[in-house]
Amino acid sequence: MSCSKVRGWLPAYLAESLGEEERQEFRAHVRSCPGCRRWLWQEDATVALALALPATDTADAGFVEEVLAGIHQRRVERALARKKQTWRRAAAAAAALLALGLAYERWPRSPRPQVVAQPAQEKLAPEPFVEVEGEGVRVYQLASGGDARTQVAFIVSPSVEL
Amino acid sequence: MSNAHDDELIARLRAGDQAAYAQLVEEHAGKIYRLALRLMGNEADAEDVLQETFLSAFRSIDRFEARSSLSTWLYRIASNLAIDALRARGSRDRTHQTHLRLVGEEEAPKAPELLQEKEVESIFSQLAQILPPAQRQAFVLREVEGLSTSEVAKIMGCTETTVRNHVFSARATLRRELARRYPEYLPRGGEA
Repeated sequence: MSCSKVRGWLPAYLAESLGEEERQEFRAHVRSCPGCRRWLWQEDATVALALALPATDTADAGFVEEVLAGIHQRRVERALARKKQTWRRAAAAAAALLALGLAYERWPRSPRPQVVAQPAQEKLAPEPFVEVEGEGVRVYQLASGGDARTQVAFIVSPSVEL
Repeated sequence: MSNAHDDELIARLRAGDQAAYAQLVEEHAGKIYRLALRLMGNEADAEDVLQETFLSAFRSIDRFEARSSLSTWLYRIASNLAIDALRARGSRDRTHQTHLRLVGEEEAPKAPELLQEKEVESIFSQLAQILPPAQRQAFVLREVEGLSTSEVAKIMGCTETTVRNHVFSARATLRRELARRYPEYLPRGGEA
């Protein structure tokens, strides 16, 4: 590849209109040719700077081991973090349940229907009976169970306005 | 790397073969690290991006559809992770990078073609900080890594025209920054 041919490609390279194959040839040539490198710094320093950056891989065995170890470390840390998070979530759920339970217990609500033991209903008192004697009216209410002592009598006079 | 080679490696990765994980790292870690370093501008962040790239690849290998090569797929994961990190980082570092150049200004200028690889890396790293993330991504993938426009478009998830526009804008910004910070590396004392 001649230097002059490669140098002739620069305008198309800068216009982004150079074919990919020629572009790769241009780049490879400039990287390997000190004269064209010097020329390119004069023509376009940004392209020269980009092509002056090292293109070789830095991945020796030690580097790869370091990367693998770093990846492993991150995986372990994330697994632990996930576990912690699971525990935290479980604890939070338990705490929430407990709080709900307590709130339910203390929540003011309408009294529950209570079953109160009722004493066996007494025998109903007999119906009152009325006696009319002249203009006077007597109303008798007899106590239940035959308890004559608690007999009550109402004497109603028609001259009394109620 | 041939498609058959990729296919075989992908099948082993999907089967959970631990040796395949190591092989994937061995074959691609160097390139991915280099890309991450140029996008992030420092080794610590580049290592983060590198490890996260492989973790993400291991997790999502079942979803890899082989529409691109394994290498392009890894480039996409890495550059997207780097761009997310750069966007999160924001513009804080740009001021810092400007300061770095002022500290080193006392050194005698050297002809650009005689710069050592480390010096070139350092100059590029400082200049690239000024580029918006998408321009930086396009410039690094296209001009530094030498990928085709269509590969860069796939990686960035945009059209080839957008890639070209990002590259043109990045070159213009870098030329301006070179003239401002390193006029000795431009012809006729700083004219780009």
